[in-house]
Amino acid sequence: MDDLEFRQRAFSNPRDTDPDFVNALRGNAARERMLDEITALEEHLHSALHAIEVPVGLADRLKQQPTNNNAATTPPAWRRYGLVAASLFVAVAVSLSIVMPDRPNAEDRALHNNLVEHLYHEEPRYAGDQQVSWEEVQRLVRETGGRVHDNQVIRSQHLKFANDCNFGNSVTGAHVVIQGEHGPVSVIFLKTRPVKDAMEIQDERFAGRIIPLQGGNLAIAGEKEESLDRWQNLATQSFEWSI
Amino acid sequence: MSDTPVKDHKSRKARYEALVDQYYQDVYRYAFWLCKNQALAQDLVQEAFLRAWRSLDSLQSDKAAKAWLFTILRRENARLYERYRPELVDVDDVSIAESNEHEPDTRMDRNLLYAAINKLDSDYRDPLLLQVIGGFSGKEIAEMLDLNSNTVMTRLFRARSKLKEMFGTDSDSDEESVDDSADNSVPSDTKTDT
Repeated sequence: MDDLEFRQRAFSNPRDTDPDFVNALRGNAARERMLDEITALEEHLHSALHAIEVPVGLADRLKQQPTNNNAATTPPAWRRYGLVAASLFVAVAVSLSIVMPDRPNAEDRALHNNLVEHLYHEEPRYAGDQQVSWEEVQRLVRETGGRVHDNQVIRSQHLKFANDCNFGNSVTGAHVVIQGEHGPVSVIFLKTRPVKDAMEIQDERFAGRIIPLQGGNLAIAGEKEESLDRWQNLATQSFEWSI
Repeated sequence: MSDTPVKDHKSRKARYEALVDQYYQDVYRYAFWLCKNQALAQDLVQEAFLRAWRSLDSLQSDKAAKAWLFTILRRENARLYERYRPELVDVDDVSIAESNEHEPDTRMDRNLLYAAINKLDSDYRDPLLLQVIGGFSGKEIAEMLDLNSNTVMTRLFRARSKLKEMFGTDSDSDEESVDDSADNSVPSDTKTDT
């Protein structure tokens, strides 16, 4: 190992313990001096970066988060759905996170599994740079029994896909895909029995939730990194569904 | 009713809490350097751990947990920066943990070092922080930053060279010893990983 390589190795990782690096150091006073210098800087650096004070109580707050997050998802908001009769304003679901108080029953699990399967099945259809018009989305929603509010925010989104969907023994619904920050985000309205409790989608790839509505379900799904609350809010503000 | 879901929830929460205990300090310190704002760093860490909780089942091995958390944190930071870019803090405002060794001279040295780190281009600072705070190998850093390992090792070399220059303790011209073509000139990190 020549001096230049040794220097590069030392500066890239002063704690290098690889035998060829250690052997290259042995018996060479100049290299030892140079390594001592960079090691001194390294110790200073390590000590300084680990001296940044961590806020008191942060660990406790982090541990409480799952509980607090669940606590924020209070059922009363769900009950408001029951007060809306013919037309279903999904907006009450805004800002809800989801709890799973009980293990889903077999029927709900089947719906969940069908939904995930549907996501994988449909994904190639909107994996590219497809775009659908606002009018197509309006038409789909109309044909499947809904109405879209003329929301400038959703109109300004990249709308990738709009189609009716059939899965799980002819369950029908409307599937709209919007381009999210980390990939496509599916907003699916399903004309099926509402799940007992809101369910998080359990999948290696997709994150999302199934939210029971009166007479149906709303599913939001996207990549794990996607902030789905935003899209859930947008969907609930923009779509009105009579199921 | 079976108590399996309760047990599942408990074991999931226990796993999450173990991750918090083990990594929250390093994650916070790295978050601080990413956003250079203590309040935002706390928000960032909380968001990152909340996401970690939600997708905990996707974490296959606890051995990969630290890199996984740092990656979530980096993504959260990118997402937050799209909404809000805070003013950089003065290095004097950096809160240093109480310790007997923090005599005025040490504090001054550290503040100089913080300022020097702050001056580094993020291309150099990022891998350095991941290596020193996170203890990640060159290969792990390469995966997190989506770079090749040689590029990471070159950037680490340059980061330390620049710090040494800024502290005026190096008479050699380290920067001149590795030019832009050096991305491929530093030996593979498989030899230099800790």
